Amino acid sequence: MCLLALVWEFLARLHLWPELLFPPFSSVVASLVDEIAQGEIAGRTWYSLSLIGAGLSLAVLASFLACALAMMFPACADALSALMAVLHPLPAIAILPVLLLWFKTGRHSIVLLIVFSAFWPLTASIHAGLRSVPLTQIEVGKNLGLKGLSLVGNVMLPAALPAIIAGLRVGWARAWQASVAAEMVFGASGKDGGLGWFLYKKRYFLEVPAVFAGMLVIIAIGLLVENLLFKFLERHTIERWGMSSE
Amino acid sequence: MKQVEFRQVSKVFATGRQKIVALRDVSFAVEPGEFWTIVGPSGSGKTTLLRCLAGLERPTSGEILVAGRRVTAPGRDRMMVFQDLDQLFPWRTVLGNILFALRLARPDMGRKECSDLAHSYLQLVGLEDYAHLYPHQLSGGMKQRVAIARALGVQPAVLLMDEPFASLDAITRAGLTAELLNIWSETRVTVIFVTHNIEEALITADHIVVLARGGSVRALLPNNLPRPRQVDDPAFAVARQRLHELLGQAQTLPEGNAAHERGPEAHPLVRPAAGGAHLS
Repeated sequence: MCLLALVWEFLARLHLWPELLFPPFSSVVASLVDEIAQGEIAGRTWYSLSLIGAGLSLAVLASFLACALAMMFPACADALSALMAVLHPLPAIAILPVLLLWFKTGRHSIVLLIVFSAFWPLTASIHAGLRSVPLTQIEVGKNLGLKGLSLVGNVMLPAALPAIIAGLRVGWARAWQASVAAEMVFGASGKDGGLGWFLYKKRYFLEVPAVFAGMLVIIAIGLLVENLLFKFLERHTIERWGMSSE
Repeated sequence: MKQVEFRQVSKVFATGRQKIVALRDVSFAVEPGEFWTIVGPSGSGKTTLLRCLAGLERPTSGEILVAGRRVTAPGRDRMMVFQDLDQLFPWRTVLGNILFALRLARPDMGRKECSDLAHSYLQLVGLEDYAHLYPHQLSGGMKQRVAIARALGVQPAVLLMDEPFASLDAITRAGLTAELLNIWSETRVTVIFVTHNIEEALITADHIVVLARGGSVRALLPNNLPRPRQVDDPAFAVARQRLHELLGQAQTLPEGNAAHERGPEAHPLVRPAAGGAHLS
C-alpha cells in the first residue's frame, strides 16, 4: 500500500499529465485532512452508511422471508428461481429510472435501489446454503424432537452460516456500488447526500484532490468492513468450527 | 411387553413409473435389552427398516410398535446413530453436542446436573479429555463415539445404529465394536444394529435378521455363541459359514413368492452337534 502511494507520488511529480487531472498523493492526503477538518466527509460518510444500513437490513429481511417461503412451498421456490434468473443479471443501476418515476428522487429511491441490488445475491446464497445443509444433521435434529422454527434456528441456520456470510459479503459490496452510483446520477435532494454526491460535486467544481480523497474514504471503509466485520465474524464462527472450506 | 415389534411391515418407494420394494412383510419382535443385528446384501432394505423404526420413513403397510405404541414420527425414545461422519453439529463442541441433546430431552434438569450427566456419557465413550474440541478436530472413530454418547444421553428405549462404523478402518472398527458391546452391557439399552459385515453381526448380536434382496426376511437366527465371542472359536467358524451361505442365497431375488411363502429360517445359528463346542 505504501509502495503504491510512493509510485503514485513519483508519477504525479514527473508531470506527464496535468496536475489538475492527476494530483500527487500528498495533495490528496492534504485535501482529505482538510475535508475531515471541515466535517463534510464525516457527514457524507455517515449519510451513505445510514442508507446502506437501512437498505441492507431490509434486503436481509426480505431474503430470509423469500427463502423461508421457498423452503416451505415448492411453488415459491420455482417462482423465486424464475425471478432470480430474470432479475439477477440486471445491473441494479438500470432500474433507477423506474424507481425515480415511481418514488421521485431522494432517500427512498436510493434505499430501494440498495435493497434491489443486495437482495438477489443474498437470496441466491442463503437459499443455496439452506438447501445444502447435510440431511443427516436435519434428521438428527428431528430425532431430537426439533420441528419447524426450532429446527430452523438450531440446525438449518447455523449449518448454512458459511453461505449466509458469503451472501452478506456480496450484498454489502453491491449495496456500496448501488449507493455511490445512484447519488452520482441524480445527486441528492437539498443538502443531504452521501459519498457519491461528494465525488460528483467535487468533480463538478474540479477539486480533483478531493475527488481522490473521497475515493480513499470509500476504499478505507471497504477494508474496515472486510477486516473488522467479516473476517472477525468468520474467525469466531465458521473458521473455528471447521466449516469455512465448504 | 415387547420393546420393538415389526408387524408385516412393507415399504414401497415409487419413483415415477417405477416401484421399488424395499421391505416386504417384515415381522419380528425384540425383547428389552436385546442386541439385534440386521444383515443383508446391499439393496435388501436394511437401512429402510431402521429408518422406518426411527420414524424418518413411513411404512407403506403394516405397523411398528415400540413399547406397545405405534411409531408415527421421529422420537427421542429411538435414537439413531448414522453412518455419516458429519452427523455431529460442527458449531458445537463435543460436550456442546451432548449437552444440546440432553437439554432437549430433560428440560426439567438443572444446569449442574446436565453437565455432570453429559460428562459421564463422555467418560462412557472414553472422550472426557476431548470435551471442548470441535467435531472437525476429531478423528472419524472419535466422531462416531461422540454420536453414540449423544444418542445415549437422551436415554432412549432403543438405540438404532445404521452401519455406524462402516466408514472407519478395520482396526478402529473392531475396537469400537468391542467398546459398543461394553457400553451395551453397562447400560442394557436395546440395540438394533445394521451392518453388512458377517463377523460384526456374529460378534454383536443376540439375534440376527437376514434380509434378502427385495426386502423379505430370509432368516431370523438366535445367535447362541457364548460371549465374549472369539473369532478363532471353532463354533464361530461354523456360524460364519452358515451365515455366509444364507447371505449368498439372499443375493438372488426370490422367484415369484416361493422363498417368501416358505417363511424365514429360524434355527439357532449353531446346533450343539455341528459346533462341537459347549453351547447352551
